[in-house]
Amino acid sequence: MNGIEIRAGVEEPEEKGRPSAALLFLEAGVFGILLLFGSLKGISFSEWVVYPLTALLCWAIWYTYFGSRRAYLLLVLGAVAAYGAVVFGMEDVFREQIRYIAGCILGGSKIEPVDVTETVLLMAALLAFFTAMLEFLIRSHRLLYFMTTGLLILAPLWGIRAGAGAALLLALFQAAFWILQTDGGAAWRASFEGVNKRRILEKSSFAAGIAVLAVFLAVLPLVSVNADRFYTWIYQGESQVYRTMNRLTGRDAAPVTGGTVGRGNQYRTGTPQLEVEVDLKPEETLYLRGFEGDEYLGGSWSEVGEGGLFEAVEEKLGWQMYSNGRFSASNLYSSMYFMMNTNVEAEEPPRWRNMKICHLNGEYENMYAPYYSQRGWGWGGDLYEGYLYWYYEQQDMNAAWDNVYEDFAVIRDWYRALQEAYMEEMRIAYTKVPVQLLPQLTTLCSENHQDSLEEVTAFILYTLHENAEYTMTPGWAPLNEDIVEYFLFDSGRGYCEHFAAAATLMYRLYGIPARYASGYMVQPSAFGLQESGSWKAVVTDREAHAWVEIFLEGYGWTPVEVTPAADGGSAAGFPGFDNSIFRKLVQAKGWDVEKPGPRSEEEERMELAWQPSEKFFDFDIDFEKYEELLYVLKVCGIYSLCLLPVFLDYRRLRRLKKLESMSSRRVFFRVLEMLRFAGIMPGYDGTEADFAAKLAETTGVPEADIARMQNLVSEAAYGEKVLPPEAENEVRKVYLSLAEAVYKRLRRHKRFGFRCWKAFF
Amino acid sequence: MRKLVYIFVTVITCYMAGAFRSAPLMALAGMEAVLFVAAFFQSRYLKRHLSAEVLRHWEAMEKSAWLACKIKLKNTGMMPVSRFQIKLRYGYCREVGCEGREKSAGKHTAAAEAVCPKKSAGTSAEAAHMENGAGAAGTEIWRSDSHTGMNEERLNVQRKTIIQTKCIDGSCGQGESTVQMEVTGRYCGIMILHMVRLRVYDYLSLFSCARRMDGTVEVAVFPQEKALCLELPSPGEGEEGPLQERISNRGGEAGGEVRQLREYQSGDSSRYIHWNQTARTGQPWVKEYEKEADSCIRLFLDMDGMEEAGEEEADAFYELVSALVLGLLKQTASVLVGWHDGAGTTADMKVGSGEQCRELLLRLYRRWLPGWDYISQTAWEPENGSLGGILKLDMRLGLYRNDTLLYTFSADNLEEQITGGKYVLDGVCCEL
Repeated sequence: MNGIEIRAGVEEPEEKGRPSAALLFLEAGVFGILLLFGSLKGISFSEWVVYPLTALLCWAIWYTYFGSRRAYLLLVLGAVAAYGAVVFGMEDVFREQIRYIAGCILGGSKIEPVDVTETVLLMAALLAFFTAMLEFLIRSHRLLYFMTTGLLILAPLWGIRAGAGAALLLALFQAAFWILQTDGGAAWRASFEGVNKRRILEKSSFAAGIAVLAVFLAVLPLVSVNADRFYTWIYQGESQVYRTMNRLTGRDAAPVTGGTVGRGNQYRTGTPQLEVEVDLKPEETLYLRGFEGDEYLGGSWSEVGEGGLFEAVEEKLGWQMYSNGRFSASNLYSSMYFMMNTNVEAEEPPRWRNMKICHLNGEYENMYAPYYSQRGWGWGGDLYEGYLYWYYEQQDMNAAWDNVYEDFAVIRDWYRALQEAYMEEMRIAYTKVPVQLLPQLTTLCSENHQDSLEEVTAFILYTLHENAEYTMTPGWAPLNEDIVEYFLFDSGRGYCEHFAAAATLMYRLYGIPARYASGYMVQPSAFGLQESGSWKAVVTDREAHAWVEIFLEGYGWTPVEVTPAADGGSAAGFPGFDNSIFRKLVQAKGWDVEKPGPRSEEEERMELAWQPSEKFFDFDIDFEKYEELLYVLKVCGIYSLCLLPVFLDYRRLRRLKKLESMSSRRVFFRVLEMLRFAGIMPGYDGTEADFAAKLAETTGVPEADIARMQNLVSEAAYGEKVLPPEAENEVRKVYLSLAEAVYKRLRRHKRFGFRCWKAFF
Repeated sequence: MRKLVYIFVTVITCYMAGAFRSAPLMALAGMEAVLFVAAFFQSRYLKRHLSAEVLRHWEAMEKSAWLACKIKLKNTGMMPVSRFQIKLRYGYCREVGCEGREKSAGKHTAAAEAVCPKKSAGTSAEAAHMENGAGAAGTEIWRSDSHTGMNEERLNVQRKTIIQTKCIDGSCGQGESTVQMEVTGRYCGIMILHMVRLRVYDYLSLFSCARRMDGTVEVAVFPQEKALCLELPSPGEGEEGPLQERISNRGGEAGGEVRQLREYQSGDSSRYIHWNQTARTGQPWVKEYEKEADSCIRLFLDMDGMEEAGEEEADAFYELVSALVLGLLKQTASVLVGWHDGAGTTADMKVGSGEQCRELLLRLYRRWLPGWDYISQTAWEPENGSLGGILKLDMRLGLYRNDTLLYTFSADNLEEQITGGKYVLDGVCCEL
């Protein structure tokens, strides 16, 4: 301190009156939050009750707060009492509705929305009081700004999709009160002379409100028609961050596997993870499974653990006594289909293929195995150099188990018994579905009965193709919604994990045992001929994939591709089902499957490297999507119409009030204007000698009064002295008598204009 | 910080819009981005159209009283300014040294002296020193007559100023308006309020644009008008010297004329009691004498050590000077006050009223400015090297007569000493 103290001068008393900006933007904020809340799935409320009542309450709070603090206090006390009474009287209703709302927020999608008008009304009232308290009483906008921002930003995490109306109203609220509560962060403010701080801030907030409205309405169509382009930019950024992080942490080289169904976008780095070497060039797509899903846990799968299942199988077959480390049902089963295929008698017995898989990062925690295979030996050395499988391609599998070599008949019978027992046991394990998590999917399957595996497969493919589009960047899914339900019934966008998970659950809902599998899918084209004569493919994370496996007699677990193929059709195929059967079934059922298929990698890359095109500025707005915004505009229009008479009357009273401070010359000018409006004495300008006489004759006002007015006005205009206040009042009195007389002479429609629009009387 | 929060919110909104594929959120983020850019340009626009100037450059006030300073704002733009900020630097200013002396054309009492820290001349280290309010920093004084607008003379005077900074926030509409602030000072001296900068913000207070201001208000802070209760020696009691006699002859019972009798008041000397009247009425009455029209007491102010003195010491000195002069004025028609000015010459001023006492204080506040109009014509140095018959007050608040210490005042309880004490000044000469 240096001995000097500085403070603001004495503040001018704030101008009396109620700041209209405060009411307008308070309602904007409260309505914005209500609209946001209304977007929550499973919630419905009577809008024609909630919105007008909330508007009325906001108005009452504003009116009493800026009018009389005592009335405001009474309102608050009354509201608290009313709250208490209502909550006490309708306790059960509120408890049930609140529980339901909490369930919607935490539990996600509901099929049928439930009416929660009472609770919403209660909440709206609380919100109005809370907002008014912070903005008017405490004069702090920061908390509400962060609250509303948080609501807007985080609402999608709980499945609340902010509509354009909610976003606009909350933006208006934020910007306007940001300005209205400008305090500069200083410990004190200078005071003003001749300047009304409140009016300046109000004016500024209105200007900002208009700017927000204009910019938002300008940006919205631009964003709407090119939304994908904007999203792509964001995904480009996100993928860069993801790739960089993965490279920095070294996670990109680790083989991918797991039963988690992604809730966000998938970005691939293209880092080599496996080396697959085969002795014969593959003719079919190679599925290397690293994970098999057992139970669906809502967003993820538990890993298959068949120990218990095989114990039951052994018990059923009476093999427990033989079961030891080497001979066990599970051991037998693991190579059963490979062994059977090897021993089926055929003219040209198929040759098994050798496959060596090498993990490039040297870690072998999780192994990958082809279908119809048996773990091999004799090729390769230590594990760090890879591991070997003997396998058959699906086309080489022969399920005619009756034709086996004679010396294999006994084992065939064992295998057959094992297969039957396994099928019985696994039917229970692999048809489990948590139906409470998947109400919509369950309903869909129960409403569409299918008879055979082929029909079920066709229906699944049809449903997936009809409801979903393949993309690696489907966006995030809300935390409170099941990813499969969200993928199928809400977003309609997803990648292999979503397709596979949905298909697996649908198979199970139809009673067909199915498992979710993930690993790598290697195309035959990926293999290149080596000098040694073998074929080798370098597998990157781009080949990571998820699919469904179903159990087929004679084949065991067989992969079914449900992710749409590049040509828009289905690549799904298993013995007994192919694309032609699918098309036939689709035709027979009358389904339309002309949906765009998945994009190729090249297309995906093209999308990420998007450049502005002419189409960017093509406007094709789907107004249905902006129903909410149109609704807000409609409501604003209706409110404005309803409030128009009040506004006009207020304006009339203000203009009449202004008359009291108007000079006599201005008043006389108003008289002439009034006469012109009424069509009385159109050619006169008030200086004529017979003006008073003629006007008296027309209106019935005494001629002496009019003449006196004329004299006083000319004295004010040309005289040397200023008119005394009494004389000014005299002129005003004559004006009012003339206005009343003229008003009575007018027709009804003209009277409206005279009184409300021109405010002469 | 506000800007960072805004950018963060916009980026998060944009990211969430993409993550959840929400077009309204994307539009919101787009709108926020557009408004961000618009806010930048708005701050520039508002700054271009807003100007501020101080209405009065020179003010005077009593210590501890509140003074209203007004700043006129002019907004020529189409939009009101929801927030502007004036940065103010203020502090007490004491000149502590001077090089050279040149004749000035203007009278300096009404002159505005803008304190221009050397920052403007390019010495950033010293400017930072000033900015931090750390104390002594070299400044240059540009003297200019506010009425004629003439820049007349440049003096290299060192000012010792303790600077503090404060920012004033406000709003203003279109046209002209005035901002008012109130200022008070605890110490006597020259207080300088320098409007350094006018910063204008956009409506969201995200961006600001500043313009330099050069408005300075100088406030002379005077002590409250309190007079020391002094008693000059009466003729009969004076045995020490002829001067006392002369006082008693002129102002006392012998030669002076009794102006009136009045009731005794606390502090009145018993030697002026009119015993006859007191005996008649039973109440004490005292005689009041006419002052000689041209009687004068000489007071020399020894201000050696003022440069090193702190604000409180300087304040106590000025307060005592004021009280002493006003107290002497109650006893005599005028006081001739002398001091050494900044160039080492002796200056003096004859004080005959409270108004002149303030003028004297103002001179003392600026004693390092050469006092061309006040160069002493009086011989303040006695032949024997002492100030015989001359009162002297030094920075240690010691009051001397003929090198004899009469009283020593204390800065800590000066107010009590001024209002409660009664001081007899033996042997003070009063010249005709």
